[in-house]
Amino acid sequence: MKINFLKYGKATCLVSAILAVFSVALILLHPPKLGIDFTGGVSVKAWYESAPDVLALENMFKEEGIPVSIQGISSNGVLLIGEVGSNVEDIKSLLGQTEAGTPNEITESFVGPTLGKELVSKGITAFIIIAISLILFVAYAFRKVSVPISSFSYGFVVIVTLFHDVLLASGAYALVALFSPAQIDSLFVVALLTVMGLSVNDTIVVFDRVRENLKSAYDGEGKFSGSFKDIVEKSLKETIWRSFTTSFAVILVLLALVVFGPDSTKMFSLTILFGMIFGTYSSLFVASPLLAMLAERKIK
Amino acid sequence: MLNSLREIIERRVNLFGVSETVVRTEEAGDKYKLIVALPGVTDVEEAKATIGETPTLEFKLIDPSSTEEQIKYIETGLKGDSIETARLDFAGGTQAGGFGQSEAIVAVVFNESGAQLFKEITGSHIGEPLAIFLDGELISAPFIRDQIEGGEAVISGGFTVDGAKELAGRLSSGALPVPIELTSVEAVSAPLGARVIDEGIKASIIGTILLSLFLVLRYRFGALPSLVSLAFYLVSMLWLFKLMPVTLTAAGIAGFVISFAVAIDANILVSERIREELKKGVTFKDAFILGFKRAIPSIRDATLAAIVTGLILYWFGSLFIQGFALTLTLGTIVGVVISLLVFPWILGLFLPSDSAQGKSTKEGNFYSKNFL
Repeated sequence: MKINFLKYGKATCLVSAILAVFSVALILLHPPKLGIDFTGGVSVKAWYESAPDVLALENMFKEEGIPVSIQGISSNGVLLIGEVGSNVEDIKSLLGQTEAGTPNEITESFVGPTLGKELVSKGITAFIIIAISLILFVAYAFRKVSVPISSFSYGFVVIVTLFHDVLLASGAYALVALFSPAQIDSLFVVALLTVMGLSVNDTIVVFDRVRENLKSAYDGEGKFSGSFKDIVEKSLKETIWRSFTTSFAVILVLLALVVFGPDSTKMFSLTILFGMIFGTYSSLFVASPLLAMLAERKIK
Repeated sequence: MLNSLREIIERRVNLFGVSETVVRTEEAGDKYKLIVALPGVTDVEEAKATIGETPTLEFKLIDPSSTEEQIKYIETGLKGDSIETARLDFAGGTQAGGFGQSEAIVAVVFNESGAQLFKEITGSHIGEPLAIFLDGELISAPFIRDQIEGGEAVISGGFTVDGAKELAGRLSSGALPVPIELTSVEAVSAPLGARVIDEGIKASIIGTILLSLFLVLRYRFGALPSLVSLAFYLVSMLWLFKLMPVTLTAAGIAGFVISFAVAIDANILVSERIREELKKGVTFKDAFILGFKRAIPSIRDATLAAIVTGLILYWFGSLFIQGFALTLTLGTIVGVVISLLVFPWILGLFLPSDSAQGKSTKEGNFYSKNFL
């Protein structure tokens, strides 16, 4: 291929920056609703003469547009958990319209969140510590190629890319949430963690090639006289197909989960899929140009 | 209060964060309830034992107005929730340099406020007994000989070693701030249900088939070693999950998915590298060795980064994230072992015979021709 990827580096970085701004704006202006995991909700239990069809009940509530989770419980009962502020009367009247007849007994109560605020603060702490550790780790792993740019630059770019992927995946999720009942729940948090892990993996694999090519370009005394940009360009060309191959393999598995997987984990798989796509894109077209730009600034 | 109780119980029922337990607080009228959902537990007694009912530990003083027949106790405010850690220890006997049987005791270390309170109580009631209640029962009442600073105490009460060990564990994991009482037990159907699991398995199988097809399309016969080693990987992970008390939670599965992705990555990295070397026209043996050698640094670093992330998440994450971190770290370690040790071995099995190995790719042999 004769395309000069880095020539478009500024453009691709700009596209990413615009997408990032859009994501932030979307998340701030139209944040997805917090799920019951975070807010708590109302719980209604009902018992019938004979066991009600949980599936039919689930569909009934779906049609009415009342988001609830339903589980069967012993002695022909069902347990519903709905959002804060759900109309309990509506839920009760729907519960009276099952094929199992009207319930003998109904109880209602408030349930607390299963995920506390501590998850958010702990999450942020963990994220910062992970970022610092990864910068240090990458700086160490790339210590032999600290010419012409410090090996900390690689670590820095890895974190920028990681942040980029998580942000864009969240933005995409917020966009989907505009048109669907997608919420911020525990699965969403896990999906973002997953995106984080995949992003680092992707970027390191691309940088590894830069490291290898750079090492072989050093002269006997460890000096480097060539063009760093050319090295990055060469590495990019060499890894691009491999990156597509590995990412495509994972994307295939995720696509299968999105299309054929259960409804309850569709949004989860979709979030990881977004992250994977942004991650592949950013490891090639954001991380590498950024690296080249850092080097250029330093040389000037 | 209810929330700290929730956290303690959650930690107790979900030791590694890999069981899909749900602990919710519930408020109905003036009653506070804790709903503990334990998947896979169908026996009521087992459920009770897992939750571990109490233990409540209380330190009380004797009311001066109490009589010989009726001893009244006054609460000191010092309770099990003031305990930072507790451990099994032995006192007396040979342990103390003497003779005879040593006794199992529980040594507790109070937290800051607990230590302060303990110091005040012991300071102002020298000579009086301090009654220690476990689950509402008096287990011992040692006399206070001196003011105790440093916030450490021992609880003796004729424990067996196992009994003391269990109590120490329970107190460390968090003695309950309030006594709890079992109100009702109900069997609950799976929240996701069998239908969902079926769909999930179906989707995973479709995904794996698509992945295999893709690898075969790209590497043709050369995909075989990758597929065999991925199968190895899946079997090892399932075996590990069987060994450990893991109910696969959504978070746990996600950790597994990434480690699977990293494992696929590692295999493709090696395959692509070998392919590159083969294109240069070197012998297969050289391509095999060089390809591996060059792929190792990237696999090593990507894996280490994933492990660093996993460990930090396990360290700092709340229980819910720990499940994710655990499967991620385990999966990554298994993945790298397989791609660096098992995969080359499998590749070796597919290597052409010795006589063919010397030939360059241009002359070709079945395997290398197909790899390209």
